[in-house]
Amino acid sequence: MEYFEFGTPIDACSLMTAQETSRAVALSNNFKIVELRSHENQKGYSEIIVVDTEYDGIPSSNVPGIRYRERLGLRFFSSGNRTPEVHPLRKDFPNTGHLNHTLQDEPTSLCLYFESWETIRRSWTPQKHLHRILWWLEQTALGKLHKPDQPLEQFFFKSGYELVLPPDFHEYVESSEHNIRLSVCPPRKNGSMTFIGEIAKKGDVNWQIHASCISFTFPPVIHGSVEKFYYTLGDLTDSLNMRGVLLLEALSKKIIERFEGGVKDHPNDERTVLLFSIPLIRQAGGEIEKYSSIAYFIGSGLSQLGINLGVLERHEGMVIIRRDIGGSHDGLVKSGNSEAWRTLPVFPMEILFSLNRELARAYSGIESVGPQAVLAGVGALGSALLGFWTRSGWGEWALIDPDYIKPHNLTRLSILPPAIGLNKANAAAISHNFFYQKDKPIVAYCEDIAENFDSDELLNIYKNKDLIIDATTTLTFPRDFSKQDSLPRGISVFLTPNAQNSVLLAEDKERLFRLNHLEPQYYRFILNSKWGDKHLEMNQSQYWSGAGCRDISAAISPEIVAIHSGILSRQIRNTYETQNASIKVWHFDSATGAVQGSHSNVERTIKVQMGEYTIFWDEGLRRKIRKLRNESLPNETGGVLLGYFDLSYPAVYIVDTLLAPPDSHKDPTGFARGKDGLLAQVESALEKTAQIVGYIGEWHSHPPKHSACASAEDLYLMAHLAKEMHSDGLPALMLIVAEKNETWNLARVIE
Amino acid sequence: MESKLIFYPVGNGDTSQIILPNGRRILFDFCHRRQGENDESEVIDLKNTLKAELEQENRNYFDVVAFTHGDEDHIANSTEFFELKHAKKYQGGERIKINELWVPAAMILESATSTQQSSEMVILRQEARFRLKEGKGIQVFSKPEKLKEWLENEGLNIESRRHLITDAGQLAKGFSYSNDNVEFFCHSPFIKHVDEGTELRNEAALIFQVRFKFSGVETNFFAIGDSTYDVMEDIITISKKKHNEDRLKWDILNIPHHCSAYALSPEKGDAETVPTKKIEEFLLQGQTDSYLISSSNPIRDNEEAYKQKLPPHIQAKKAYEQYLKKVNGRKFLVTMEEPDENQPKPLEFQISNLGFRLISQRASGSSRLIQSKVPRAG
Repeated sequence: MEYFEFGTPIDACSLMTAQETSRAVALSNNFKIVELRSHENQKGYSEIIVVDTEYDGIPSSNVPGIRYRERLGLRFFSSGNRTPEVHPLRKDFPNTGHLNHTLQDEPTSLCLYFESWETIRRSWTPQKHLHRILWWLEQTALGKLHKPDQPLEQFFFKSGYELVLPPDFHEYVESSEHNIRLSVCPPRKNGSMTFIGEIAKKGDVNWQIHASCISFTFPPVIHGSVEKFYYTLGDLTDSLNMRGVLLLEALSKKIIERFEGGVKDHPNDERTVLLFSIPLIRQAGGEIEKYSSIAYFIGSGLSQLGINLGVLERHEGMVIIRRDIGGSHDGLVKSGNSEAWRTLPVFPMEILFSLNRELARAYSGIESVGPQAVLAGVGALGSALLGFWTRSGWGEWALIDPDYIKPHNLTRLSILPPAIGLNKANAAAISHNFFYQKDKPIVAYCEDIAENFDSDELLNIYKNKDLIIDATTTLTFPRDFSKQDSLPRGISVFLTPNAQNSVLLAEDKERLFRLNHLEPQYYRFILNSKWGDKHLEMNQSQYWSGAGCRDISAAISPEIVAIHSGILSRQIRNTYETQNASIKVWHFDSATGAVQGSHSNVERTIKVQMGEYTIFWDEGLRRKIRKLRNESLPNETGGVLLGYFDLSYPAVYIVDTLLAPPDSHKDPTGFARGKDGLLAQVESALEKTAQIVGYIGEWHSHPPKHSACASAEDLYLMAHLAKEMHSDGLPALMLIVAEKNETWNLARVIE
Repeated sequence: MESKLIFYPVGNGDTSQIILPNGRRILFDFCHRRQGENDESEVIDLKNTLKAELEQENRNYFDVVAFTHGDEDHIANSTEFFELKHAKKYQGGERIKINELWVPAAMILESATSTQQSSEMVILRQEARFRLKEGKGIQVFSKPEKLKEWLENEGLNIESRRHLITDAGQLAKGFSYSNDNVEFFCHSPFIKHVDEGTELRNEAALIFQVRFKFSGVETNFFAIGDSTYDVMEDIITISKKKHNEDRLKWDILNIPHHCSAYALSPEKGDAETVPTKKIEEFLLQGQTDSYLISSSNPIRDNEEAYKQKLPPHIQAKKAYEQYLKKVNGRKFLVTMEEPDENQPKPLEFQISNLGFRLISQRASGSSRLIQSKVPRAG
């Protein structure tokens, strides 16, 4: 076995951390001291404990080739701000990728810690350090050690230079029409820099950007080989020559191509990035399975590089192709006219991929790709939801909202001030499309079409979608949407007027339970729950017409929007993965910060057509009423029905029943509904439901062995009800519940 | 996808388990020591350990329980733990079921002397016979004349039971690489021993080369219960003769008979046992990174230890370690010494397409503290 001899032998360590570590090594089962050494270079004085380590956790046939026994140099610095380093000393120690870039005179070093020594030292002990080394060896051998945002086959190292690339950049590396164009973020305090690469059409050299990128594709490489680091362009070129890549020629050619016709000498031409795309194959001659990539940073501009390579020269403020090489450059680029390039330092760059949806989902821990969906309503809640889903790469979205942005919207919408006056859907699409650029961009529709289901344009938008999210804060959209049979599943979400509560009503996948079926059940849920008293409470109830409970123009802090939108976002994702319909509400207690969630069973809706009116009631209410009937036998019983009309349908939605008032008269052949306490109860129902659910009609039972047909007395009652309701312009409604069935009766005054 | 191979610290005795990626579990031998039920004991509480493991997987059975032979240290208290089909009194309660029982032919045949009649060995023999007669839930290894005779005496013929019998040199039935990522190659018992031997039990014990295979990466576990050097020599000779040298390879070797010197040579030796030439060949079949497992009490290296008659023998350990070094193996491990003598824990190997590795049992100081009682405060 050949090992690096690193530093010079010493008899004893003088640095405290080294002394402590050698004591820990002596007590460890996994480490044995071989010798002690010291070293001095630009990092300062250091001491090295050379150890042999043995670790049972290393799998015997691991892919990177970590061995059960490894010789390591545990290195400690006299300088108080340097993290201890660990150098593998075996000369053929694999380039596993998870290594730090080291100085030229040093063996490579394990990338053990992610934080700075300032942070690490607060909990660092020699024993933990030794465990960390074993952890590194084991995880590397198991193939589990990589940062989440890094390509798998890549080096894992800390480099001062980062290159962010589109995940599909490999396709453009050798393109005749495209370049990888760099933009440079200003250098950070420690000199490190990030370069952002994007695919751009080939064009004039643009020195606004201070850096050039020259990209190459390598011949395919078999999986699992990891690249080594090089320190000079000469070494890099030599190593590539050995595998048949003539870097010098290729580089010269590409530079000549760029400088064809001469380019003005420019001070911004100060940095160059060499980017190599490496196709990976499983076996020789096999198909390309994926790509790996390496990049090197060179601290001189492309012109200077070309001059050093001997293919360019400066001439009267221009950089041109060397005039003495004539039309064909072949002879020149082969020999490399100059040796000046050989010693140019090159620095490996860490390659990161810019975000795409797939990566975003992976970082967010989301497995599902999500729906192809429409978000109707891009207000406070809608824009917050869109923000979550865009960031996490969930779903592909089309937006519909006719509204535009006013100054006060800035407090709640995740939009910046320049968007004032823009349409909400447009503004949201523009800002969110920065995430994935051209990849399935969000499409915005600003026309007032969200509520016009007769429009072909709207139906086209909905076609082939699998989810519609209603965040419109209207009642119109969900109710009209429900009438359409050809549309995909809908989910309504909204905040209540006081913004302490949020609500989710979700259709099932089959759409057997429509949003308008769920709405009355949601109100019944309010009326029969303790939390319902204040659920739809509002500050300015006198302005309410009973046409909605979902408006949020009152004062609401952005925190509240964030809390509820976070909950709803996750709940919508969960719901999307299930088949079922649901009715859910959440209450936020601003004093304690607690959020209380409740959900209601969804009952099957029963639809009854009475002339032009469609009556909607449900199995839950039916059970409740039949139970009241049975409990009252042999007497008849009855009471008031609560509900609401939607005259645009026209439809009647039955929500609930109130118990017969105490002054009602019940006997085996009849029931006369009393009035005690009734007004208060109906008013309470109106108050709890934002003036939506009130008196809608009556019901009573028939005794056993009698049909559910209206009796003579019933008809008289109906006439009375119809007359009274006529003053409101509404029909009278009566439900008769017999032993086996029920009948609905609707009557109105015809003038 | 991975398999597990677990060795339990049961003192001088044997119990190991294989858990396959598809969840199937194969238990080799069962040695529950009563003292293991006591918290202070170094020996594991095998019954409760296995029970807890099964409960966690919502199981009440093993797919296979193999008794390599009938010695007490390989079957101790098994008749209290397992449900036995041949008699009501061994059924019900929390007993663990055995889907398939693996036994050497000798275990069917062996007739116990009167003093042994009450031993668990006899009960297990009744169970094995019952299952063989029923024609299901058993696999018998080797097919000596005496087994034929026994079957005939029971009014059965060998043909009707052939699907339950596996000869040496064959693969155990019911396992394949494609379904289980494993094969069990049976080395022993082979016929001559049952028919020629007088002391049948140890010589006719089950010996397998268990080969795990994941994406072409093989890990060979050589499972030997008890054996002696001459049996091992026969196995080596036969394997070579039949061109089965490949089946002598080992990555993990369960050392025969709790590290007995007599599995290496007829002579224990003073300082170090010198294995016979044939045994040496076998030891050199160890692969890079291999492990040797001594399922035994701790092995001391002191004057007294060298005089010790019963295994484990320090002289044998010295010899094994020599050969482990030669094949560039990893470690000689003693079940009762890992991770430390005071609190041995099961040795667990993880086997996958990355080969094999030993999962660390060594906990951090704080986690050891919260898992144990601490001395009384004054």
